[in-house]
Amino acid sequence: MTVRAVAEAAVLVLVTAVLYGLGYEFQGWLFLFSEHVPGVSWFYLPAGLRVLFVLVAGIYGALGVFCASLVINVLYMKDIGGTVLLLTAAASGFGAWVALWVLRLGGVIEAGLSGLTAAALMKFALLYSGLNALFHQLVWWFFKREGVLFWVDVWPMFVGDLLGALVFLYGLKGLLQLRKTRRAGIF
Amino acid sequence: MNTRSPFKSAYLRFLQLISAVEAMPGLQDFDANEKALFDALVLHWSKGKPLTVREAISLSELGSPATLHKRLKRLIAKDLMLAYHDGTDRRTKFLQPSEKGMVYIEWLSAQLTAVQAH
Repeated sequence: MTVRAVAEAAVLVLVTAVLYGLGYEFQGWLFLFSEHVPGVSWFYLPAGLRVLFVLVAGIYGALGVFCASLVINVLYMKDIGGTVLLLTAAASGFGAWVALWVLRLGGVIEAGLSGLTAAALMKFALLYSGLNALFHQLVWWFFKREGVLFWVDVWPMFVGDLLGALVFLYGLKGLLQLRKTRRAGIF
Repeated sequence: MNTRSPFKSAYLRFLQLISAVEAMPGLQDFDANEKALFDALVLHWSKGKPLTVREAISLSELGSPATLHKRLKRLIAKDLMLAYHDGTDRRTKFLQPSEKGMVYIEWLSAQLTAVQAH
């Protein structure tokens, strides 16, 4: 890897980390009411950012989300620390990345997202939501985080991530449609 | 092109993602007002007399020119209608259903046939 490539990778990690952090603040500001228990929401919009960052920036996007999640966990999840905090951040950052690799190995998504279809994108959102919820809950269950009920909490987290990812992607689609409409010249 | 550059790679992935997002189902359907305009335009086109843009936005029974202009832009943006020049006259644009618009018409025809069969 050249120095330039390393610098670009660092910028991608930094930008995705900052944007994810802002997305988390936005979530807390607008959708706090959807919180099931601390760290689990019925609607989690930053899930869409994870999808976007991991699909676009790959491992650098995952690292960005991981770094931002570390800071978020230190600031807002006072009941966890050490290994649990680190693994929780890893679950946030790499859940989507693992989902991407599972689909790549399964031949659903090709390298560089070449020929990515809407159906493959939906499968990715679904698998990512499942893996993310599973990884988080497994970490908390294994390390006996206080008040964690694996089979109760895994569903709201799955639904919250899936809803967040879909709303984000459809929001993006709406924006693209709006831009296209504004640009459509007929005279 | 050096696709090992993280920026370039990210940009190419972004373009692929945008293409997939645009192809996602839903939000493509047009509303009743757009459908009425689409029907009127297709009807004229099927008679071999496609309307011009100016004529289309003057269909007063469907709305004001400003409203119809916006509606027409949406139909074009949704790739359901095409605005094209005929011959050398670059000032006048005619309207015809696009390939996607034709697929929609064929789908409607198939639905009607299915209903009649029952």
